[in-house]
Amino acid sequence: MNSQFIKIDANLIYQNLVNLKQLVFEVTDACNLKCKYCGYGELYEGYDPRKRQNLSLNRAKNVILYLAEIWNKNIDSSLCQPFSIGFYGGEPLINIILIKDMIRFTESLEINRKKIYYNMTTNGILLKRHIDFLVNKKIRLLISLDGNEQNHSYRIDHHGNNSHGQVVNNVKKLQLKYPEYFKKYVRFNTVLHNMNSVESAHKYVMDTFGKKTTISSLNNSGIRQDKIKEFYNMFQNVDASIEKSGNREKLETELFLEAPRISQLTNFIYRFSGNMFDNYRSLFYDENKIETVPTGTCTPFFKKMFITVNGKILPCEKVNHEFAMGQVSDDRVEIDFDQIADMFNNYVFKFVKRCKTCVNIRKCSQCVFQIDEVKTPAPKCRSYIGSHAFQNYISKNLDYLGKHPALYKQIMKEVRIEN
Amino acid sequence: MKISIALTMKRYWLVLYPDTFLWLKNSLGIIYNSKNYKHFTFICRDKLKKLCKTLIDLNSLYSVELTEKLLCQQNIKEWVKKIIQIDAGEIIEQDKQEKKLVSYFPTLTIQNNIDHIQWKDGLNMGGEIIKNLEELIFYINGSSNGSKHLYKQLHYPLQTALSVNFELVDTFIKKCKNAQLNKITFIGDLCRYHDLDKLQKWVHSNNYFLHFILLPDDIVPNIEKFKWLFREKTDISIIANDYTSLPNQFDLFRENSDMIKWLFPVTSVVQFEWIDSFIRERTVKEYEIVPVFDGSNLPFFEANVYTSQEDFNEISLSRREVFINMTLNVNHFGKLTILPDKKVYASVNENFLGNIKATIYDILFKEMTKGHSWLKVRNKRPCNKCVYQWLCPSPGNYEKVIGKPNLCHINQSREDISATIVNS
Repeated sequence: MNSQFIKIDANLIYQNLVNLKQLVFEVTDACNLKCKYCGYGELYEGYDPRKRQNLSLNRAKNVILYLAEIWNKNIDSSLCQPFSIGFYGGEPLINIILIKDMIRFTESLEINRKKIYYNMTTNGILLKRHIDFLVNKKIRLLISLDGNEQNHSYRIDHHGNNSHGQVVNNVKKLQLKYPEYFKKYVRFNTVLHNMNSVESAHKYVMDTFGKKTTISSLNNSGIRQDKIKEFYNMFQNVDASIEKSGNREKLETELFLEAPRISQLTNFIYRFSGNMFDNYRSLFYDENKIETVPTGTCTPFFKKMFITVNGKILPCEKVNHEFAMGQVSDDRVEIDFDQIADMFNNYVFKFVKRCKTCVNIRKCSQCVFQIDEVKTPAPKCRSYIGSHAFQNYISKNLDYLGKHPALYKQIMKEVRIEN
Repeated sequence: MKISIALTMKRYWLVLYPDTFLWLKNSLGIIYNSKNYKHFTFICRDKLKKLCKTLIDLNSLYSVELTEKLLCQQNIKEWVKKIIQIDAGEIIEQDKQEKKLVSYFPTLTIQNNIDHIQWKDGLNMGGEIIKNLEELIFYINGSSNGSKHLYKQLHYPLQTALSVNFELVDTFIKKCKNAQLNKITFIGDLCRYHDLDKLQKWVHSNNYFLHFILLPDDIVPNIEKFKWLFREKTDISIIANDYTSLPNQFDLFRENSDMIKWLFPVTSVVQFEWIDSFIRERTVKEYEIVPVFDGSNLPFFEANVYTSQEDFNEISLSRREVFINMTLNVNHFGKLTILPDKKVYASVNENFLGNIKATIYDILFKEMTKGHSWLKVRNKRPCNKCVYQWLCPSPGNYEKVIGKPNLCHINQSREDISATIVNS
């Protein structure tokens, strides 16, 4: 490989804000559950202490006003782009007052450069109380449900009680009262661990609600040193769980893109077949000649902006709070584009030597902010792929495709990958 | 006996590589390796046609089983041999390769395609369409030295008294600020442009890459006045429209010759030869010779511009470039032209898309969904009956001006098939 790498500058970050696709607010750090594997719980570090705080309306308003000004200056009023505002927690429904105020405020601004839609990740405990509002505002819900009652055992309240019954009852009420909304705007998310399995969670959600659930393993970055053993006792790999079911073919067919091997194959075809392009214009560019930054880290705010309950501005909710790229207070937003560019360049260029010899550099998706030792002088990249490993990766995907030939056509014709 | 033959008969996998294109048209086929640019055409009938059809079925993963018996057929044996020769695929005995060999048929998927653009329009959130816009071309006014027709073939100043106020130009550019504009081109008679001061001020305050296309007579009398044009991030093209004055004009631009590209329109071989020797004598560094159709020089085009069988021997298109030919028009895609009548065109040979005051979204959406320029490809007769369909350059202005569907000597009627095979 002989890749040329570039440093980002303030202008690129500013342009990312012009084209920002997603803004996520941590509306509260309080939660009515105390899930064992929570990313803000006992297993992890690298986040601000949870103090049962709520995000202030002024901070939220300031962020929206700040962005709206950038959009008005830089986008023609006829060019309306989709824009998602997400409500995240803690449990966001605990701070429903703020959510209502924010939506009212956003609607009053008449931001015609962005078509705004709303998203929320919820544990479903307070769903019953707020159904009408959520439906009225067409808020897209992602409900956390780990499967049947036993599968759901880690999702407990502060008294240690399993939340399953309450969640399922609430969701059923929603489904019964607003079947069309439920069909269109509700999705499920399952965290895989040692109390459930892909098969049981998938079957339960499908049988109970007629929907697929998105299944993911526990996040393995930011784990506290003294909790590593406990973490790996709980951890279960999605593909291993499918294998364990003894029913791989059927399960993978049903799960389709939710099955890791099909998802990996899709990614492989998208990235390496040379037959998939994002848009017409991208056809004109030979991607091997496009200069890029080292690693696969998204340039700041390319995909989203995350606002913590304390007003920290982050490029993503998965990034440790110590990498804040700005601050919003009750009276202003502070983003120093040059400083962010310097910080970003400093971290990604720590990996430049490895990136130069990595076969996967053009297709890398490794975020430096998800590498635990990134602050050390010579951190290692866990996604490095040498030519031998790359050949294995290709063979593995082609073998799988050879056994499931219909997938090529299905992926090429039916799958759309949003970047 | 038959059973024993079947049991001992060797079986093979034939797989084509992902950079290999296989196209069939009636009883003619072509295999093109877009990695090394080698190709061959073949008569495709009966069992060979069946094999090819299996290969192009996406579910076959560009792989097909061949029996020893099939490989004994002369045409199939030759066909496989040629595939191997041009490194377009491989054949492996099944006994030596347990797993089926697989590859990808090079079929193109564009995530944000027309269907997606239309779907987003329905939801009133199609603003990302602006990402397709790359170049704006403004005919800011006309020139008394211009032409009423040549602009339909090349960027050439118009002969008209109309002009566009610079405020309108500026407003239109501002509408496109979220596009990734590579270039903004200005064509016209700058000396007589009534808003020249505003244009000059704008040039100094903007960071776009600019291109001015001018006629020598429009600039020579005031060449000192236009020193500001010779700046970084600006290309200047001068169209040599009068060859008798060219030697003098060329000398006048000598001081800035490094920054000028000369465009030489030619209508005949005699003219071409004259220009060719002028270029050599004067060591012109940056230039382009542009054939021009004058209504009576079709033989000149047939001899020098038309595509012939030999041209395909020189073809060197990558897979991505073939995909471009299959999807977009390289001459027009991403460009909008605004004429002095203030109308906006994707191609000046097609109907206008709107007025300069129309919204940029409406203009772009109209072109992408109902236009005939950006996405105009060779998908109509006679090109869609030809195996070279996607190896040919996009349809251009000449076809429109001359009034022919293509500028091509290849006519793949039945009689020509044998000639094609012999030549390949």
